[in-house]
Amino acid sequence: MNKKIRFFLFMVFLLVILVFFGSGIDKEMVYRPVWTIDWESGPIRQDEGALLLPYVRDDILGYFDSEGGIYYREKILHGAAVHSTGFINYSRLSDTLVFRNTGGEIVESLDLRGYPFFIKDRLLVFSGNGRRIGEYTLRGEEIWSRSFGSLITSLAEGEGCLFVGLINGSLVLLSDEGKEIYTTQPVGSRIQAIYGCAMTPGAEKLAVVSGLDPQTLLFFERRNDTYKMEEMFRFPEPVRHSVFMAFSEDGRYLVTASDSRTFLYSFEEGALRDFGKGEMLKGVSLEAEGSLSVFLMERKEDHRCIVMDLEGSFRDDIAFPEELNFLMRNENTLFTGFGKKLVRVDLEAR
Amino acid sequence: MKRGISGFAFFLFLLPSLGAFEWPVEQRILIATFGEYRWDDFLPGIDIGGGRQEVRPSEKGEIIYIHEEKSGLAFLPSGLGNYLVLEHERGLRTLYAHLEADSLLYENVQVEPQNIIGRVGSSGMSQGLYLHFQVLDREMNQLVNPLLILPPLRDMTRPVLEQVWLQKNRTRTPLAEQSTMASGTYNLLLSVYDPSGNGHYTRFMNPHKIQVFINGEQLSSISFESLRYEEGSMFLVQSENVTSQLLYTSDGLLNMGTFQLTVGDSIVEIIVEDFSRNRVTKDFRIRVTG
Repeated sequence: MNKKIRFFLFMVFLLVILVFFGSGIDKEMVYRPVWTIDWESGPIRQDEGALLLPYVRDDILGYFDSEGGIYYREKILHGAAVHSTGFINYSRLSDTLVFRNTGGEIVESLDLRGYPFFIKDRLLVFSGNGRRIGEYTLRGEEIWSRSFGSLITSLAEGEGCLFVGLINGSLVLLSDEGKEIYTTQPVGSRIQAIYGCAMTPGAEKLAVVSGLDPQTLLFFERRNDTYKMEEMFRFPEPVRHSVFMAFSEDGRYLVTASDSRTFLYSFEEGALRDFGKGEMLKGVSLEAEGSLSVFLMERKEDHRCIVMDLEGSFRDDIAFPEELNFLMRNENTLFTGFGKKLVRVDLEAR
Repeated sequence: MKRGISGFAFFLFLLPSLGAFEWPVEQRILIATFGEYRWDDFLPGIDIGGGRQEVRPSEKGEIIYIHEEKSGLAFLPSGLGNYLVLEHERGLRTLYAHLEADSLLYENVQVEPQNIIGRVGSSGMSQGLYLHFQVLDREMNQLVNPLLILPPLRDMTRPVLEQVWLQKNRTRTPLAEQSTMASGTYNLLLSVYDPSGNGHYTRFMNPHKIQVFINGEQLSSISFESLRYEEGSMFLVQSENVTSQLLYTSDGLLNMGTFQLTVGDSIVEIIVEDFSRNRVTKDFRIRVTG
């Protein structure tokens, strides 16, 4: 069976599953596949002012629109910092950083060295030694930069600030001018190190995975100009590498993920829920609207996109035929990458 | 530039640790030394070449942090590539960077010097196969020159003081053994390296210590022994308030400080020593005119 026929059958199967069985899981929700595009062979369109969305997977970057048009694609050299207005595709040595627009044209050659990345609209650059971070304009002008006495293991961004976790166990909160506005070092563990951190969009809450023996999940809340630790949990499965952590937009939930375990913390329940044991989290969307979250989970044997109600009432799987590598959500539209393909699925409430 | 705090006290503090540490690789070809100029910072460790080889813990310890390039959602880009951090007794930590992908040890976290924890690779910003090795004294929050705690490399070659310049208003004048200069304020710049021609080094290295005396009074003394971070910048511990931007010129010369030449005769004495205590001393006589 050739690839096209196999893919057509998969899409028909997906449609049948979603339309007929999806309603059994959540009567209010219908999943409607809209289009699928192939990043390797799809035609490139000319940019005529469409709203472009960035696409990044392991080895390729590009831009597409919500109608399935591909506007640019390029192989990633070593890494890429991608923004809605353009990108920096950098080599392993990363000694020349060039900002290019969504059509690949050079906008600015930045007089910078290091590994760049975007957090929302902020261009940040890590130094090669992993101990310095700085923020720069898209013209390469330094806004601020700061060195630390220890390696940076984790970063989180909130309104007007940046939260930095270090391997010496320190947490440093920097203002948007790079000034240190709060610092702390959780104690009580035999080994001190920060393995992950997250901050709510408004910077009201901080979450941290800290230390070893025991490894703890700590929650801090803002009190005027400082933060106060409110809760502490023993982290159920200690890790020795950086942990992914993200809050939902409304700050009611926190997801943490390591190689094979994902936990969801509900502030209302005050409890951690083990979620997706043996699976690797490849993408997550925790937007507040409708309290609907989307998780891309990988197991050895299958690839699943899980749509669930954060309250835990419903949980639905959409199986994919290839490895999942991309997730973007725009309200009730999902863009999910698998293999070399990108599919748009609309989530419709009925 | 005011300098002169001796690193000897710090060295004594470390003495109980000496002897316990071993080189983390079998082939020990030093290709970069502690404190070298790296764009806008000091190199906080050493680079050890010798090809693709197994990496072992420098001392018994515990793996406390593993970083693999492109390892999922938590990934942060790092010039160190794939790396491990170990915690040892006495508050010391060691870091092993630029390891080969998929070679990092995950199974055992308590490791002995005979265990293999990874293989030398060229991940991150490395420009070839080598191990980047760092030692951190967590108690003192300082990065320590690994050559202070590793078994010494045999080295019979003296450091080389290649050239000395006096700089005034961006004009550099090379200093000969006998020179005549106009009075004024000058910066003393050095080109100095340690060739250590015994096969352990493939290119020129930083020496261990450099001292400069003007008419018998110490102008400056730097030792590449340890680094500390304060206020967002990295400083050489044994040299007061010296950052890499202050110590190095943009073309990589060492800026040993500013001094005043007054009319008469002056003697500039420069002493350079490597880690095997090989030493070179040079005197420069300057006739200063009005």
